[in-house]
Amino acid sequence: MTASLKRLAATLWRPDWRGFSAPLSLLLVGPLVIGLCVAFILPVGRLLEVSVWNPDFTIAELVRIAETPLYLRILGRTFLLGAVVTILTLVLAYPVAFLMARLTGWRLALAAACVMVPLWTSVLVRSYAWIIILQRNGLLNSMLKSLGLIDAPLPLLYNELSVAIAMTHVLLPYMILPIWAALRTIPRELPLAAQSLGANAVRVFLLVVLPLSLPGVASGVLMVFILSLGFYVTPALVGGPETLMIATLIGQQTTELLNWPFAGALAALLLGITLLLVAVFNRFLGLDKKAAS
Amino acid sequence: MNSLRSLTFLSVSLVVALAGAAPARAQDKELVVVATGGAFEQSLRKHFYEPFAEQTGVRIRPVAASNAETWTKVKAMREANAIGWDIVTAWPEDLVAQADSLAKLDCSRLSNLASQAVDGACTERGLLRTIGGVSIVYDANRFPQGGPQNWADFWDVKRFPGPRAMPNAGAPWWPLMAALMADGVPRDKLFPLDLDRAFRKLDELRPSIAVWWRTGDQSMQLLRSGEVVMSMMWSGSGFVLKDQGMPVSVVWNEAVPNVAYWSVLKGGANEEKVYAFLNYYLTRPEAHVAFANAFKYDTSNRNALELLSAEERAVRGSTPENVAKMAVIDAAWVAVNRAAVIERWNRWLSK
Repeated sequence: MTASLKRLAATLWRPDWRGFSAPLSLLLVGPLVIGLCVAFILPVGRLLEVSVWNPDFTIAELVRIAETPLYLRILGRTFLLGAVVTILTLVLAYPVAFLMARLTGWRLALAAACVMVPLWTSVLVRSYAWIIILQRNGLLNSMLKSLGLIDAPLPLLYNELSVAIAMTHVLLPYMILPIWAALRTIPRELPLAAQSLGANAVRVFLLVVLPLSLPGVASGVLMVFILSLGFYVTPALVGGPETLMIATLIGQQTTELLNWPFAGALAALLLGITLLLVAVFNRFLGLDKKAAS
Repeated sequence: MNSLRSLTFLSVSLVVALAGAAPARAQDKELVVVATGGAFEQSLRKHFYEPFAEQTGVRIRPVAASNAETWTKVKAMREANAIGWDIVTAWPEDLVAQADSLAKLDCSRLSNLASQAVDGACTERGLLRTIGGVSIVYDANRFPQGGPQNWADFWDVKRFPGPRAMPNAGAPWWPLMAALMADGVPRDKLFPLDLDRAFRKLDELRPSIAVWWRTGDQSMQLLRSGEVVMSMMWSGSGFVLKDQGMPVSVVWNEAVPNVAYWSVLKGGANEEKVYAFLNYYLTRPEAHVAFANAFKYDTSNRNALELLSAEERAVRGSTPENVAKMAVIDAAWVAVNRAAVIERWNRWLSK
């Protein structure tokens, strides 16, 4: 009895703390995997299934998408906006992450709080805040007017500009954190060594720091890009008619028109193109290799 | 994430459908009633659900769902053959489009109908619940000489300058009907909608539409902040602004009617209690007045109007005088053409 218990413990647990044994690992991830299967993979799979199996095999829904310029245009626009937002967040996030990587103690805590607190604030609140800033009689327009820079209020809200601004703001932490994590792990000796060999600050950054931070950049870019493709609330609140996104169309087909096969086809297309782009991205940046190194 | 909300919701519906799991079935002493949630439902509880429970011992379990969510879940429940709700809130076009899911009402079992309800309150698949409109609401401060009184005025940017707002809230036939009225089509001859003509007329006004609003809150905020000077919006939202001290006027003339019905789902096992509740809804005019004062939507109780002063009556959407000014909507046409109209609307709007 005791012997078998010991054997069981030995299979599940390695005393050297090097990691979990295979059976224990399975046991630990099991609940999550089952939960994901029941609550996510199964329903999504079923949605994708009804898009081509209704009740017999058909590609009518996919043909309908291809034949309706509206859907392709909206899809293209969704990806374009995702790319713009990704570039904007990258440009804004890198310097912040770079600075954070050099901070210690309470300064670091303060900077981290400034990045994290917006992440914990409801996306609704953050979107409404932009409405207050950008609206016709909002903060920005009043300021420009009192400075005498403009006569009539600028149309800053309810267009692509406001959606890009608000989405960039909402997604910024998802870019800062992985880049910061990558920069933090660069040994301090490496830039010093480069300097001692005669490289100036720019060369140190370009040849040492930047390449070593690329895994962080790559995961930040992927995360922000994929999250931006599914944005729903922010474009609805601060966007205008020209910022209709594919997520909104899928929602419309699902809940307003109850056309689940068509919603499934749209979702399948979005999923397919996203996976394709990720694969291409991976090919060029070698994401998996970089992440491993 | 926000993007996941609708996906999660869909997943849950589908899981219900897949597993065939009956949502907790109402007990014997319970009715499940679906309405849009929030403060609106709080008020329904206070004025109707709770007094009904006190009188009959039948508790009402309120479920909050938007119109779209309601029919998505009903569809999932029907596929799973497990109807967990008794009474839902339906819009006029739902009475046609969702007829398969709705039980036929036997109006003769509603004994209070004749003495309490407005004419035509009981229809084949729904009992008229609340009455409002999608109206012109304008900022009276901007138009001291008098504001727009019909859709032709709304389109007249010379006489009534300033940015406008119109709804992009899932029912594009509202702005399309307004466009046709602005173009001279009589308010009772709008259907079948001449879409080409309506979109041409909308093209004309489009540069002056600053915002296409998506939620009632948003439409109110636009007037509050001065983002627009007039808006096509829910009458109830307009009256709430007025209560908050905004100098707005709500125009009933050529307003698009926006009414809701209590409808009964087929396959529910609570028929007796359902009729008891519907009949109870048609009592106590004073409760309807209190409800309407809080939410600015009239109800189908005609005696409630008698309790109001002449001034109050003049601005209410359910008085015969105001109903006579409103547009006439063909819910059956909307039910059949909805998907096509929405697709064309998306195309036009995203141009």
